[in-house]
Amino acid sequence: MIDAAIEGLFGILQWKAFLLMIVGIIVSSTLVAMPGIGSKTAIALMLPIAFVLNQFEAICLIMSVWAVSNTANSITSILFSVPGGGGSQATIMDGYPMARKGEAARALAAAFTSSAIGGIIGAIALFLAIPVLRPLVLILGPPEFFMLVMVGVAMVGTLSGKSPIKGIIIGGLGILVSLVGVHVSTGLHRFTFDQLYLVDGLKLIPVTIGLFAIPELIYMAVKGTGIADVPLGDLTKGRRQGIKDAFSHWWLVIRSSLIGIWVGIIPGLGSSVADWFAYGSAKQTCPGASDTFGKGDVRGVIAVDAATNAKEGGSLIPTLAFGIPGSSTLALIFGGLIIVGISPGKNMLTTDLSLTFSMIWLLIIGSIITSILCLAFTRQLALATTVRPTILIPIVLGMAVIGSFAASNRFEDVVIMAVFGLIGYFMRFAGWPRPPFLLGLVLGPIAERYLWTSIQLYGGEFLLRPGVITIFILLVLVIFYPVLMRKLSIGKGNDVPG
Amino acid sequence: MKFRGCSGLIATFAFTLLFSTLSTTVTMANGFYQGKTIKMIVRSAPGGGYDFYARIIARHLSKHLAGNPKVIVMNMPGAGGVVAANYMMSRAKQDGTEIAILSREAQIAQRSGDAGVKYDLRKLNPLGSAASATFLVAMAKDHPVKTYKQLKESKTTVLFAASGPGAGSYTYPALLRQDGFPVKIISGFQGGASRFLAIERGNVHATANSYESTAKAIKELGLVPVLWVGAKRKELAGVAHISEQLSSKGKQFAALMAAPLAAGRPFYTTPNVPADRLKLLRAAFKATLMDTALLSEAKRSKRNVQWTSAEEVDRVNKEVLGASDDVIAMYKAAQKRPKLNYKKLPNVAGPITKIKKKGKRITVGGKTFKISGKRTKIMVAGKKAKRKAFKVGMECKVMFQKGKKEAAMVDCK
Repeated sequence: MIDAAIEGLFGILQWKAFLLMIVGIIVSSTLVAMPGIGSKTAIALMLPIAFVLNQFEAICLIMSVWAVSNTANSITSILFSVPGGGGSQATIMDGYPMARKGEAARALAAAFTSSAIGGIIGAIALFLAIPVLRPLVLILGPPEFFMLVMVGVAMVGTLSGKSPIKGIIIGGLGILVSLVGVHVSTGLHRFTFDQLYLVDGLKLIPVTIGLFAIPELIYMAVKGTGIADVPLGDLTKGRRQGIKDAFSHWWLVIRSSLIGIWVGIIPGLGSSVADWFAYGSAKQTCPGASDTFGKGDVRGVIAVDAATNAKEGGSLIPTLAFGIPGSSTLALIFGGLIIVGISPGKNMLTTDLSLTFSMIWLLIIGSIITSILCLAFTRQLALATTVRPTILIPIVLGMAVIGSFAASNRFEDVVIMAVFGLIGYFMRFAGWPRPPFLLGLVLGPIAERYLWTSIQLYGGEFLLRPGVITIFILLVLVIFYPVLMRKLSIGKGNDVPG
Repeated sequence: MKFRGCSGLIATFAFTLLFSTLSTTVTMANGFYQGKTIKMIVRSAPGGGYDFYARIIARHLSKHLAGNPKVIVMNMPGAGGVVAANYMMSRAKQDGTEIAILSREAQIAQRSGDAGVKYDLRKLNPLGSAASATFLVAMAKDHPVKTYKQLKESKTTVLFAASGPGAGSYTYPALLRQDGFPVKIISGFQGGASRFLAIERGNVHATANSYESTAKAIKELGLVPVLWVGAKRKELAGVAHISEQLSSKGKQFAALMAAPLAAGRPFYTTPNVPADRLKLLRAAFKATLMDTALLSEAKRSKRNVQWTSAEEVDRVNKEVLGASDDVIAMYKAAQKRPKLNYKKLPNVAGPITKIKKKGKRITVGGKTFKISGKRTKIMVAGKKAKRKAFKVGMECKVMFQKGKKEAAMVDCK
C-alpha cells in the first residue's frame, strides 16, 4: 500500500503532469468560477486532449478541474450573492452580509482557507476508507439511503431562522415544486400542463439565482450604493484575519468536513446540498449562532466551504469502489478516463491502487495550490464590492442571465429565474426563509425515488432493517440535540449558586 | 545547421501553400461550407453515450467535408430527446449547417404519440448511424435460473433492477412481463453500475443493460447472460435470442422494440436541405466513421463504432412508424404497472354477514375485508357500483391478493 501511495505521488509530480494540474486549476478558478459555466462543460472540452496523455497526466488535467472548483465558486457567492456553482449556495448566507459590512477580504480568505483544509480532510477520509470501501457501500441499500436523506430533511427546521413553522411550509412548497416533471418510477407526467419545458422539472440553478441574486440586485438599485455599506478598511489585515478564523475554528472545520463526506457518499445527493447541511449543522451547534448567523458570521462561511470541498473525497468512495458516480460530473470524468484505460471498479483498489492514490494526492495538493492562488487575489476581488451600482447591476444581472441560460441552452430557464427573482424579493422582505425551498426542491425527488424503490423491494417492512433503525436514531438526535443542549445549559445555570 | 533548419521551414511553408491552394481549388467546386460553422446538437447533457458520439464525430467531420467548416457542439437536453428533435424540425437553419444526434427511440415516441412530440422523422433527413446496440439480460451468479427457458418456467418471481419507464433497462423486462413471464420490475436504479450493485447486494436477481456495460459485470461479478436483443455479436454465440421463448404477439412487440437498436446512434439534419448538399453531408459522415484516427480514439474509449447508412435509418423509422395499433397498445401497456388478473386471485364466496363503517369493512364467509373506495373494484349485478351498494345477505365473491386484508374485487349478485 505504501508503494502504491509513493507511486501515485510521483505519478502526479512529474513535470508534465504537474503542469497539467496547474492548467486545470487555473481553468477551474477562472472559467468554472463564473456562474453558469459548470465544471462539466470545461471537462467535456478537455476530454479530447486526454487521448495524447498517460494515465497520471489525464487524472491531473481532468480531475483537477473538478476537484478544486468549489474553492473559487465561493467568489461570486460572497461578492455578489450569485452562486458560482451548485455547491456554493449556502456561502451566500453569511458571506454576502460580510461583504456588505466591508469584510469581503476576510470572508474570501476564510472561505479559501477552510476549503483547503476541507479538501485535505476529504482526501484523508478517502484514504482511510480504502480497506472498507466495498463492504461500506454494500451495507447501504435504498432503504438506508432513504433514511440518510431524511436526516437531511430534518435540517429544514434549523435552516429556518427563528420560525421553524415558516421553514417547514417553505420546505413543503419546495417539495411540491420538485414534483413537477416525469415521475421517475412510473413515467407519469405530473403538473406539466402539456408544456414540454416542464417535463424535466424546474432546474436548481435558475431557481437559486432567482431566489438569491435578483432580490439583492433590486435592493441595491433601490438603495443606490455599492455592495459594501461601509469603507473597506485594511484589506491585507482582513485577509490575515480570515485565514486566522479558519484555523481558530478548527473543530467546526472538521465537523463540517465530515458532513460533506457523508453527503458525498450518497449517490445523487452530493453536489447541491452538502453546503446547506453543513450550514444547518453549524447554525445548530455553534454557540450564539441563532443570533449572528445570516448577519455576517464568519463561522457560517467556514462551515460551508470546508464541507463543499470535503465532499469530493467522499463522492469518490462509491465511484471508485463500484463505478457508481456520486454526481453527473464524476460520470463524465470517468467516462473520459476510460480513454486512458482507467475504469472504476474492484481494480481501483487492487491492481490500480496507485491511480487511486494519485487522486487522493491530487485532492490534497490541488486544494492547497488553489487556495494559495485565490488568496493571492483576495484584495483585488474585494475591491469589486465598492463598485457603484450603475456599473455593477448590469454586470451581475448579465452574469445571472447567462448563468441561468447556459446550463441547458433554454430561454425558459431565464424566465424561471425572473419569476423566482420576484418571489425571492417578496420572501426576503417579508422575512420568509429561502434555503428550505431549495432543500425541498433537491431532496424531494431523491427521497421519493429511494422510498419508492424500498417499498417495491421490501414493502413497509423496510423500516425495520437494522441500518434504517440506526439512522433513525441519528435523525431523532439531529432534531432534539438543540432542545437537549438548551435544557442542559439551563440545568447547569441552576446549579450555579447566586 | 541553422541554414538546414531554415530550408526545412521554407519547404514546409511551400508545401502548406501548395496544399492550401489545392484544397481551395477543391472547395471552389462545392464551396458552400467554406468559412461556415456547423452546429452539432446533442439530445442529452454532456457525458454519456450520445454526447460521446457527437463530440468524436464533431472532432473529425471537418476534414472530410469540402471547405473544412468549423464544427461546434451544443447540448440541448430535455424530455428524453424530444426537445432536440423539435428544435431540428422547426427552429434549426434548413441549409445543412445544423446536424443532430437524436434519440434512437425517437420513432417510437412519435408513433405512440408521446407528449410534446412536434417533429416528424419522415421529414428530417437522416445522415446515418454511428453504432448499433445490443441489449443483454443477465442473471445473478447464484440464482437458480441459468437459461432463457428456465426464466420462463421459473416458479418464483424474478426481480429486475431498472431505472424507469422509457429506458432500455425497463422496456425489455416489461416486454417479458407483458408476455406472461414471472418478472417483477424494481425501478429507481439509475445507471448500469447501480443495477449491478443491486444484484451484488442481493436486492434483485437480474437486469437488462447494453452489451458494453454488462460485459464487464459478467467478468467481475460472474453474472449469467440469458438472452440478447438487437445487433448480433459473435461473443454471444451460445446465448438465446429474445424471440425464442416469446408468443407470436410478443415477437411482434420485440421486433418493434429491437428495430431502433440497429441504428443505435442516429444523426439527422433538418428538412429541406438541398439534395447535393445532403449527399455531401452523408458522404462526409461515412468517411468520418471510417477514419482511422476516429476508430482508434473510439477503441481507446471502449466504444463501438459501426457505420449504418441513411437508408437503413430511414427503413427502421418507417418500420416503426408503420407498426400496427395493437402492438403500439401493447407497448403503451408495458410502460404502465401491470393490471391485476382477478381470475387468478384467491377468493371467498358467500353471503355478506356484516357491514361496518358504511361499507368500508364487509364480512364474507367469516372473513372481514377492507374495501378501498379507490382500489377495490366493486360489481353488483354485473354493473360497476360504489361501497354503499352493499347489503347484508348479498351473495358475493371477494377476490384478494395473498396476505392482504384489502379486497381487490367484490362481485355481487
